[in-house]
Formats: sequence, C-alpha cells, structure tokens
Amino acid sequence: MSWVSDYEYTFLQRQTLRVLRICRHIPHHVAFVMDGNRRFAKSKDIDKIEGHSRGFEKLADCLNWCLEIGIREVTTFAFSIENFKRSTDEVEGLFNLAREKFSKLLEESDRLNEHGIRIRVIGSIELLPQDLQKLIATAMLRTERNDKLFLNIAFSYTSRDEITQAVETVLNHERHLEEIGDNEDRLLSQDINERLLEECLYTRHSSPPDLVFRTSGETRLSDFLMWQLSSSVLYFTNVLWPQITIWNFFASIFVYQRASCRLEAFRGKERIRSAKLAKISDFYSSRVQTFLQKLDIFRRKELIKLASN
Amino acid sequence: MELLYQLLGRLLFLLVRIYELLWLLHLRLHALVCRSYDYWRSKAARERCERAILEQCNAELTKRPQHLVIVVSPEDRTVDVPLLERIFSYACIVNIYHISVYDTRERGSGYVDLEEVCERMGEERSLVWRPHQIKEQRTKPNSSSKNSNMLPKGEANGCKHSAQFHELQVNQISAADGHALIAEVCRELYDNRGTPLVRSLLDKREELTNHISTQLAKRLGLTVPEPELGIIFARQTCTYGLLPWHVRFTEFHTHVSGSYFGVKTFANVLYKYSRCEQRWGK
Repeated sequence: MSWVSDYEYTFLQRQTLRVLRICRHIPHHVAFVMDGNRRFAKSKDIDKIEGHSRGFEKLADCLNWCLEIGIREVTTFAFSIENFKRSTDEVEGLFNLAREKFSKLLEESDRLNEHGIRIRVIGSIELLPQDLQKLIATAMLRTERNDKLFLNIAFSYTSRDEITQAVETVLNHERHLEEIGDNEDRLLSQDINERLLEECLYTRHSSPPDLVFRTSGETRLSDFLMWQLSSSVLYFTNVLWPQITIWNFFASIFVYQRASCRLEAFRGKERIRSAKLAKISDFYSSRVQTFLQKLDIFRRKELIKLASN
Repeated sequence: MELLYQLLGRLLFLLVRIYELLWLLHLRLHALVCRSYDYWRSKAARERCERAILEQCNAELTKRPQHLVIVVSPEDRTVDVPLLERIFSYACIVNIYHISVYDTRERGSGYVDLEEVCERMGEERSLVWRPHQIKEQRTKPNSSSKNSNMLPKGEANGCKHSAQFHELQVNQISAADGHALIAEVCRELYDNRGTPLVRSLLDKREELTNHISTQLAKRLGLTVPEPELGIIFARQTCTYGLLPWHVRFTEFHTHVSGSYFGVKTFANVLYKYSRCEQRWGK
C-alpha cells in the first residue's frame, strides 16, 4: 500500500470537493488523531495489527483527499509515548508496520517527490529501535526539499514530552555552545518567553493546526499538539478511523469553514499578541535568531548521524 | 463552470446559515421557556427538583470528575454569575470539589470576576465558593465552628438531603496561565542553570517534566488533579489556549452558547463522562 493512494473519486465527490474549495477557506494545516484501529479490528474479528494496517490505508486515502482539496500540511498521531505501555507483541507489531511503511516510502520516494510531499517525524525518536530511527531519519532527509504537502508523523510523541524537550533545548544551549567553543550568542534570561519556546518545539517550521480531527467518539486530545492547538477547531466524530469516508472528511472541512469565521477575531488577537511579544522581547535580535539557526543545524546533524548509523 | 460552483457553494452556505439561525432561535426560545419556568417556581422547589435529579445521577455514575474546567468563549453572552453559581451548586451535590473557570471574554464584555461570588483564603490564589446552605449556617449564632464548612445530613430549604454540603475550591484561569506560565518556569530554570538541582534535572527528561508540573501547580495554586472534564461554552469546540500542560486528557463537552444550561444538561455531561473509557495509552 502506497503512502498516497490512487483514490477514485465519484462524480458527486469531485463536485463537492470543488464547491468546498472554491467557496471558503480551506484549512492550511489539519491534524488527525487516528483512533479506533483496534476497536475496528475487534468488530471485524481480525488481528490488531491488521486493524492498524487498515488504518494506514485510510491515511493514504486521506492524504490524497488533502492534496486534492488544497490542504498543505497534515499531522497525524501515529504512536504515543504512552503506547509503550501496550503489550510487547502489539508494540513490536506496530514497529514492524512502521518499518514496512518507511521502507516502502524510501522505495517510492520518486513518487513522493513528484507530489512534493515532505515527511517529518516529530517525537522522541531516540526511544525507538535503532533500525527504525535510521529509516525515519533517511526518509526525512530524502524528502527535505519537497514543499507541496508537509506530512508530520507524531511517532513516539506526547505533547508534554515535546514541551519538556523545548525547555531542555533552552537549558542545554550553553553546554552545546561550549562544546563547539562558541562563547558568544548566549541567550539572555529576558529572551525566554512563549515565543522562543514555540520555536524550540518539534513543529518549529509548521503553522499551528487549523483543524484537529479525531475519530472514534473520544472527545479528548490525548496529549497531542497541546501547545499548538490553542485556536484550532476541534472536530470529533464517532466513526472509527479505518471506517472514515470522504464524506466524513468533507463534513470536517465544512464545520471548519463555518467555525473559522467565528474564531477569526480570537486568532487575530492572538497574532497581534504574539507579534507584540516578539517585538518587546527582542525575538528578532541576532542573538535569538542565531540560537534558532544553530538549533536547526544541530537537529539536522543529529538526523544525518542517525541515518548513517 | 467555476461560477456555477461558486453559486452552488454560496447556496449551500446560505441554507446552512438559515438552518443554524432557526436552530439558534429554537434554542433561545427553549431557554426562555425554561428560565420562565424556573422563575415561576419557587427557589426551594427548583432546588428540590435539581437535587433529586443530581442525587439519582450521582448514584448511577460509575466515575465522576474531581476537577471540572469551564471554558467561556469570547463571543459567549450567556454565561454570567447566576449560571456559574448554579453550576457550582450542582458540582457540590455530585461531590466535585474543584472547578477552574477560564473566561476568555474581556472586562465589559461579559467577563465574570469570580471574586464577586467567591472568597479568597488569605494569600492563596484559589478561591472558595460556599453553597448558600453553608453561608446561612455560618450566619446562625449557635453554629458550631467545627461544622462551619459542612452541614450534617438533614433538612435544609425544605428538602431532605442525603449528602453533606461542602465548599468548592474555585480557580480563575487566565490566558497568562497557559503558554506564558510554562515560559516563566523555563526562565526560572534558565536563571538557575548552574545549580546542582537544574543540572540533575537535565540528566533525565522525566525528572524535568515532574519539576515543571510541580512548579506550574505551585504557580496556579492547584493542589488537585488535572481537570478530567471540560465544558466549553461556545458555538465551536476550541480550547482557546486553556492550560496546555494540564488538559491533555480532559474530556471536552461543548455546550452551544445561547442554549439553556440546566440541571439535566449538567447531568447528561456527567453521564457522558462516566461512560467514556480512559485507556492511558494501553
């Protein structure tokens, strides 16, 4: 199964897609919590891993829908750090599925390049088996020049861990500077604010999600992008992830389009507040910007190291 | 062809808008009828009825939240002091002890300052809300100081009680308690980066996470678990930046602004919460 499916649209689906695309704003960034794979497997009396596999097939359909409607960034919650609590068999099964899918991705990287899809894995990948780390790092590096659709896969991720990682990055930066013999460009205490922390998250180069789509009837966020979704429209549906159809997807886009008009004032205020904060805290000073550039370089080096292991 | 799609789209949105307006009108009318009925009944009769519903609910719930959070969206115009007090009194009956209120409205646009209805306890950040039964008991000259915060099982307001009244710990949350507070903790850690404590925290991420949790709880004055249930008063579901560190497992329920929030609505939210299963990653 490919990462982007060859979904065949019916006439009605194609027309609905056009109507939605022409009339209102399409969300730039959609985040999916793909919940319900195991419940689906149980209901169909199939193996749990087969349920996860069907879930992946649906993700491939979903990516096709997103590309077609004009969504530019998709984030999916594939594996939480909390999921390590599951049985060893299931965790190992999930890792095998990930190995299979990332290997497939590397095989079909030409196709991804053709669609312009960039893969970014967000999370503590150091917690994963080494071979999987290598596959992930290679996939990220191989697609890093693409810019039509960004696919962020939250793997070994929780939001709390991400925020802690951001705090850790700030606290550790002096040590990193010392290691490379750089005694300049140290952050000052007043440089540290929510604007800086936001730039230290895994999603540093992403805009916040406009729409968060969660399946299976749960109405919680399960520690997913908690920092980023403060002005996102949350859409909860009862359908299990492997059972979602394009009509569920259209419904979420429609709900977003209706809700985004009402949220615009709040979002505007947030943008102004963030811009003011950046201004008063010297966010655009060379000191802070150099720190962020060094962070990018450091993260890329880490990826290269993992890919070449 | 493009024009046709645009026309179709506009027609679709117009129809949905008309439907939404009619639905909103229906909700408002329903709210008006319910409020009129509440007004027509005596306060004691209403409270008796509410208590009966909530006691039945309490008996049937398999789990109840210890900490409830209320989010009021910037466009909401229906959440006011009486409604919040009503929710507080419902919470007391079903043994919820902590409520946080995050009112995103500005002063003058409906923002409710909880200090108007709650008492501040010394220097602490959290406030205390007391049901009127406790307030009345306190004003009685012979009331025992030992039982000043709890009423015994018995009769008050003309109705039998199977549960005791208790105080409610209330926290008023603001936008500054979200991302900015985490940044403040980070800044403090950065200022003390040379100390053995911070150095040891950097050895293990879990330790750092726990430290951040402790520091945030201290600043927020939260001695309670993270909110398990959230009620959002809005036309759409959005957290509006509510405590990103704390609401990761909160079950959200959106109550459409403008519709009536009564005891049955509250009980239904609790039933829904009671039915949902938290898997904690397993």
